[in-house]
Amino acid sequence: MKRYTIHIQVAVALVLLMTSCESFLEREPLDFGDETAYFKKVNDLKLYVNDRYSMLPKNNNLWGGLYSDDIQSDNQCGTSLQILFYPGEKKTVQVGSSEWNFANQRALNYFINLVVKKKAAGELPQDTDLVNHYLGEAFFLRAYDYFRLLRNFGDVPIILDQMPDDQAVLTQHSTRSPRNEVARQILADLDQAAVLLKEKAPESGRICRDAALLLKARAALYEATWERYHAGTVFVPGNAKWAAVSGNSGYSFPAGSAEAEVTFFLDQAIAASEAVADARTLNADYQGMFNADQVFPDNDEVILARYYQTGVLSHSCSSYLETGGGCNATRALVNSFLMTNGLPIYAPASGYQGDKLSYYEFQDRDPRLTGSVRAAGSIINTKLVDGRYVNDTIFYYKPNIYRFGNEKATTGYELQKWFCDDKVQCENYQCTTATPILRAAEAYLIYLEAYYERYHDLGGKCDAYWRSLRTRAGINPDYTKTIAATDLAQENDLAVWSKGVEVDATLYNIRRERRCELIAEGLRLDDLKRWRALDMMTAYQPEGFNLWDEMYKMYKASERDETIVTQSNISKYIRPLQVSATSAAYSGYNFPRQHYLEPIPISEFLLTGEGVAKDSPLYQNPGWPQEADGPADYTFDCD
Amino acid sequence: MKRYLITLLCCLASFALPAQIKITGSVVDDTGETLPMATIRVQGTQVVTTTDMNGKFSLEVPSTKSVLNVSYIGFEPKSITVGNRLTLKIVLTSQATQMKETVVVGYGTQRKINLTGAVKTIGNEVLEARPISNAVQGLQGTIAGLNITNDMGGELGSEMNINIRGVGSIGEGSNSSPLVLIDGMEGDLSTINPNDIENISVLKDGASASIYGSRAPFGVILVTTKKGTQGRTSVSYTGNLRLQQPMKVPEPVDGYTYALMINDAYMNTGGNPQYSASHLDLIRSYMNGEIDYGTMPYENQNEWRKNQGCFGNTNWYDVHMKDFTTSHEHNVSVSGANDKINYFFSGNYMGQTGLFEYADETFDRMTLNGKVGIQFNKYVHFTWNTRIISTENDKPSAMWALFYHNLGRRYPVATIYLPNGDYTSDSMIPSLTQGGRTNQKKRQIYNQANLVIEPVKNWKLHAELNSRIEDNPYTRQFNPIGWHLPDGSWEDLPVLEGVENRHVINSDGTFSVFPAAGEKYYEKANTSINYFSTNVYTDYDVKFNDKHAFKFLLGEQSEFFRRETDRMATTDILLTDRPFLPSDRGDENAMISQRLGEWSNLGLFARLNYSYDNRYMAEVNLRADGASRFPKDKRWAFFPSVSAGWNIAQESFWKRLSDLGFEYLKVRGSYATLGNQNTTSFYPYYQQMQTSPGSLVLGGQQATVLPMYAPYSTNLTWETIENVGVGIDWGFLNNRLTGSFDWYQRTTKDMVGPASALSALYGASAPKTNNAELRTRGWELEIGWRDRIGKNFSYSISATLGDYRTEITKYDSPDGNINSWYKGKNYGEIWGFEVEGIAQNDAQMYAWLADHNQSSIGNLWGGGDIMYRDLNGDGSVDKGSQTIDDHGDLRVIGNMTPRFAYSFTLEAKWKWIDARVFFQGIGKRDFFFTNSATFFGIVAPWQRSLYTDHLDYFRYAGNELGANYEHPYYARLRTDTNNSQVSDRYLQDASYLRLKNLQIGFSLPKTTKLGRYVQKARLYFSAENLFTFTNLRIFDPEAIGDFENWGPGKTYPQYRTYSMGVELTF
Repeated sequence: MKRYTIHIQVAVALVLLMTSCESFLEREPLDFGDETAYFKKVNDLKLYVNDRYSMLPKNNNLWGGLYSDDIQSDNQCGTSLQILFYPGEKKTVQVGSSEWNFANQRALNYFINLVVKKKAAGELPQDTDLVNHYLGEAFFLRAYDYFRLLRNFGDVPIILDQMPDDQAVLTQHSTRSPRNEVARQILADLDQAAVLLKEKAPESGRICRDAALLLKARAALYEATWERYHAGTVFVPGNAKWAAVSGNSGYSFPAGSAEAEVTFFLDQAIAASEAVADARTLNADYQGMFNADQVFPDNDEVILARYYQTGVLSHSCSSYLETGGGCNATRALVNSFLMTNGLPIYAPASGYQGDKLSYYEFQDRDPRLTGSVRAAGSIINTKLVDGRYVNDTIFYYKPNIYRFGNEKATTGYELQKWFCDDKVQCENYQCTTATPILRAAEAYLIYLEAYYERYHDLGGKCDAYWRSLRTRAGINPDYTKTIAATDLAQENDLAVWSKGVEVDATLYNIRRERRCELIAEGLRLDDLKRWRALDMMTAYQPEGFNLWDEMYKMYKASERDETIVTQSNISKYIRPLQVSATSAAYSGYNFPRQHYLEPIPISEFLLTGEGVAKDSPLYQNPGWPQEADGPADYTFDCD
Repeated sequence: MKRYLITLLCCLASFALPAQIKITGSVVDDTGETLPMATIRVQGTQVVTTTDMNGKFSLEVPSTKSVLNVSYIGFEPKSITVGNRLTLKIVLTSQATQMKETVVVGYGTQRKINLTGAVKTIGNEVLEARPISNAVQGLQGTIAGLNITNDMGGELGSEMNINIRGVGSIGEGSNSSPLVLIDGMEGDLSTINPNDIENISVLKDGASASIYGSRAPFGVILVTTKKGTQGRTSVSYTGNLRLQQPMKVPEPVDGYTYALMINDAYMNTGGNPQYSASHLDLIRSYMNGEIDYGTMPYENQNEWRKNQGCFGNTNWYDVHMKDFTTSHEHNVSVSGANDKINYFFSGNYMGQTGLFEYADETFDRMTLNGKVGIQFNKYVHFTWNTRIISTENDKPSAMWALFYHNLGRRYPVATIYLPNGDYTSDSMIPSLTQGGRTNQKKRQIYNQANLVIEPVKNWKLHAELNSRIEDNPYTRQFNPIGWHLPDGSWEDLPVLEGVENRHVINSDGTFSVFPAAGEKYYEKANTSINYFSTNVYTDYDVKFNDKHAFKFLLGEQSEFFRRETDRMATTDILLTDRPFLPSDRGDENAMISQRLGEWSNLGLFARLNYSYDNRYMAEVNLRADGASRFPKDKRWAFFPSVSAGWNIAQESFWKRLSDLGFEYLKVRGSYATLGNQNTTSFYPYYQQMQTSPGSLVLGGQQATVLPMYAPYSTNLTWETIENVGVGIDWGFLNNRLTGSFDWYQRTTKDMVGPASALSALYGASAPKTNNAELRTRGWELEIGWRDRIGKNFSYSISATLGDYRTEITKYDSPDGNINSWYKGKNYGEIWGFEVEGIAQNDAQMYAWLADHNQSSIGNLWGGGDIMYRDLNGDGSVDKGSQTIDDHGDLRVIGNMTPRFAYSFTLEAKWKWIDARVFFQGIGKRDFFFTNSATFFGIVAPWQRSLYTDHLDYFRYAGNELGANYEHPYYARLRTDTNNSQVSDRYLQDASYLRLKNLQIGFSLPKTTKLGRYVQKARLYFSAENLFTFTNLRIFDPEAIGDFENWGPGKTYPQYRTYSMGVELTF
């Protein structure tokens, strides 16, 4: 009996020992939580969506941002060649450097599904308005990121759930949806967002209902015009040439036909833009939106802006723009601007004084030009009084065409639009002026364009909207006078053409209005692509100001030698591509049509094809190879 | 005084017991050399004497049965029964003698002759009198298979990489560092005072290390510290003064040459020259002394010309690098022992200064160590050891990765001074001298209690409690700097140039802070570590029939580790020279963070040793480990090992050979499996979500963000490491020729590696899983020869050589991307093109391009560019898909693993002069300076570092820098990567042989009068890194790394050290 007791005691001791061992080895995390710790308070939802705001565009702390994005277009000119615009150097890239990235989708799908589920189960606080609002922000952001994928790749897989770490499942979901369906998904998300979002953002810098509507209008117009101008080509579903045709030969559009699909998107664009345009008037001060350290009120023209604060997030546009910025406007852009009397510069009675000096060139021009581009010889602010630069006429103001890199004035038309005259803003790359990223003016423009594309007339609210835009800009609101005086042959603008065919003068002037209103806001390349205007970018020479008639006299010989700018024997205008005879684009840009869409990285084909690229459910974009670091096949027929 | 007392006691004893026997004798070593100052103690009495200068002694013993205990430092103690002899000649054998030598193994010691694993013990002589900054540096090259490498030069306070037998694991989430145990407790080898080390034992193979289980899968370094030894109290001082010089500092070209080279590079790439004719004139005028300053304001603008707009001529390395710097080290110790108590106390100070002229860097180390052992009675022995270590590294906050990057690419045309006397921002001098400082301290307190009870002879119970408490205070400060503009007004400049200003709290709790110009910043952090471990074990030695020897060991080990880092920062400092955190609600940039983590581990172990007649040996280890890092159901694992040895020389058939001098020859083999729990994260299987301040402004203030959790795996478990090894040891010719050879294979299975790729649709990097495997195979050879010629001259030569190769044997890589891991990849392999040569002119290039289309590499090819070979014969030179199936014209051109690590040591002693020469080297290593401006001169428009070495580039006749088209090393300079593709032409041979240490010492002969008071007096000259033999261009082979990927070679220079020192023992 005693022995038995001892056995029990030993056994109990052993069990106790083992239990205490297990508890000694049980170490719970001490400094982080998980999804059970968060998503209980409204504030947790807010913090989560906050993390996704970084996907929105901004001006960068180092060089670049919205103010320089248009160097990849015919509007602005950078210091180096744009590989997008000529064959040879643009290659397929690794997935890490590609836009083929679904990190935002992973985070937002997780959040949207979790919050929707918790909401249904009544596990979220009663403050439904704010819960809905942050959920609405997530829908907006998901749409925003799908719009990025749509613009880069066209057809993309639509995934609305968090994906498991299982390649078989991923492969299953890798089927690329036709681009119109991607666009429809974007609109659906934005419809959801518009329902959920508050009309007034809970704090500055946050998304509000009009932001969702404007983004919807932007996306719908993008898709409508893309499908219209690329219709019947490899870039649009529903025809035998479509890149995905092997798997989807019998594709039929949800709207019934290709043309009906376009109409669907145009109607969506018209409705959404109208809602925004009617709700918001245009600010009287155009220039003030871009260079003041301010917070835009709830009903302002500026619907969404990025804000900055020293030490948290700041940008550098004033610092760089002060000395040239390496992203000047092109002569083509400058030429597109009307006179204040509403006439194009070439019209006989325009009053245009010629471009010998840009000071004269800028007399009586659209104030959106004179406020956005600094003219050589114009009145410029250099004198410092009480910490602010004040007017100080220097007739022979010299753009820094002779400086290096990002300090260089690449065309001589230096950008003024984002430049702030506050000395503190100009120094040390710590500007804090707000960056508008969604403006009601764009809704006005979208309405004009969508309505005209839909009905081929200027009915509806076109007249009122167009006049508002021109009145605010400070030019003659009578657009009919402009249309009448427009001679497309004299326009220096790729957007005169779509598919290589001239558009009519009215549509062109709508496009002109858009070009002028949205100068240096980073939207131009999208426009050129959806209008299929880049087809006409052949032997295209971006040009700068007229140096060699008059203005060369401002410069010392060493500041304008052949190593710095093109000489008068080439052109009287600066031609940045022709400085070096060995330049790959010396004879001008020749846009390869294969570049309308980006290539999908090779690894994606191999991963989804179990190592064999051709077994992948993915297909490559037209003309691009299924290999690493390869250029497009320029002979590929993109029609 | 003590000696007199002892003498007195002896006298008293002789009065009390008249039946004393007076004996005389001498003590000699195994070569017949007399040993002065050897200690002779009569066992069980207080009678002690020492030998005189001629090794003679005399004393009286109570009876013929008295036992004399004779000891001498460095020799095996010997006990002799007096017997009837009145004159004794006592021969002591050196401890180093192979047969008797004991080595420290896990939880005990083992006679080397009976060892079945691959273990090497070295004494402190490799560390002695070397002007090293830490013990790790001193161990480099001393043991075959212990690989200590350094690519990062000699930054103060920097630590070298250590691995045993090569690469063990490739996961970023797990590491394969060896376990370092100091007196049985995990410790920091880089901070311990090297002078406190008695010996270091390296357990290289799995079977030897397996007693430590999952903490030691990649080997163990056992450090035993000194303790008091029998004999009188001795006090010793060692100290040295050091002079340190930078090695292999690049020689930049002058300003004018630089401008011409830049123009060449731009024009060769189809661009515009950057320096106009008038700019070149300015540079020339400046260099001719016609202009005083290398910068001036831009015309009509209140702005100085900066960086490449300047026209100066500055060698930035000359500006920033000192010719030499100084350091010093002092060490004092007191030790002694008697039957009851032994003690060792030491104190150490080392002060180092850095190589940069304006940085004023310092590194100080102070240690205090006390170890006392008490023999309470026959059964109980207790040791208490306390060690306090304090290090401090102080340097400018501006001195971080980007500083070395900027120094490496600073334009020679930039200039130091403005005409108004200010330093330019290009000079980086204001940011170093005034931009604020970063201070890192380490304070470590080790306390160890060790109780040994021996209730029965040879049965011991050990109980050890170990504690390490660490505090690591850190401060970093930024102060405003600036300069005067041309109109005299002040302009603030950022301290850290070229980085986006921001205040971000990283997920690891650290702060990424790049302050805005003019902004003050003060950050304070402390990392405290609490480590506690217990070892409770028992061992029993028993022998049957004088032939069957058994050793049993059974025990448990528990470990607990907790780390806490608190960090806070403000931009609101009152006094920049005496910063403190304000006691208020803080400013808008105030930041706080706290990181906490802990892990625990429980191990149960057992070992059985069996030896038959010292001929056949076997050892079995069993260990079970539980680790808190793994989920409950994967937590426990069992790791067995077995090893065996055969001492051939003990066999009767070997007798004849043994008599010929081949007296020791042993073969051994082992097999073991171990686990690895050393994951970086303490909680790898938890979902982790954590808020942090975002780079985002919402509602007018910095917004907090809650990022999506990173993927995590819930089924993580141990990596299993399988070891197989065989070895042979020998000792011939009276143990003058000794050596060993080992071959091993280590397979790391179920490796928690970088996970296999998933398609981008997943939206994140795949979670880690146990899905990979790698295999390392290698061998090691150690050979030593020691001898004596005549009475006064002794010498020894020893050499080590080791090599290993690692191959990935399993990896889930569906695309077989050659830039990532794939099955069959050799660790460290370099893929590149083959080069035909440099085209002599455009015509040759065009002809080459006709059937070797190089357009996938670049455009605008011409004379002076590289002609790459078309290996797959498809008419074009390309990288294919960069996969193992389609790698285009790439092939494996080399391997950057340092192979054939070798060293040799020559020691000689003649009377009172001794010398030691220690060479260390790497026999084979390829290296490619991928995308490195410091190697190629220029690899991108803004990545340019033009040195005189780069002048050897292709130039046509007529070039202002002279023609160089016949045999240029470099192709023509370009701002793109056409000519800097990874290729065999520019593959570097990074092998080297280095005279690591040269030492000459002069000892005070013991026969002099002073020798009566001084046990040892030695004056020495010691130099580190005196000569290097290498084919590597431009760089030092131990300074080719880079900080934060700014390009190879952008690191602190390696240095050469000369030192003078003394060693005194009283």
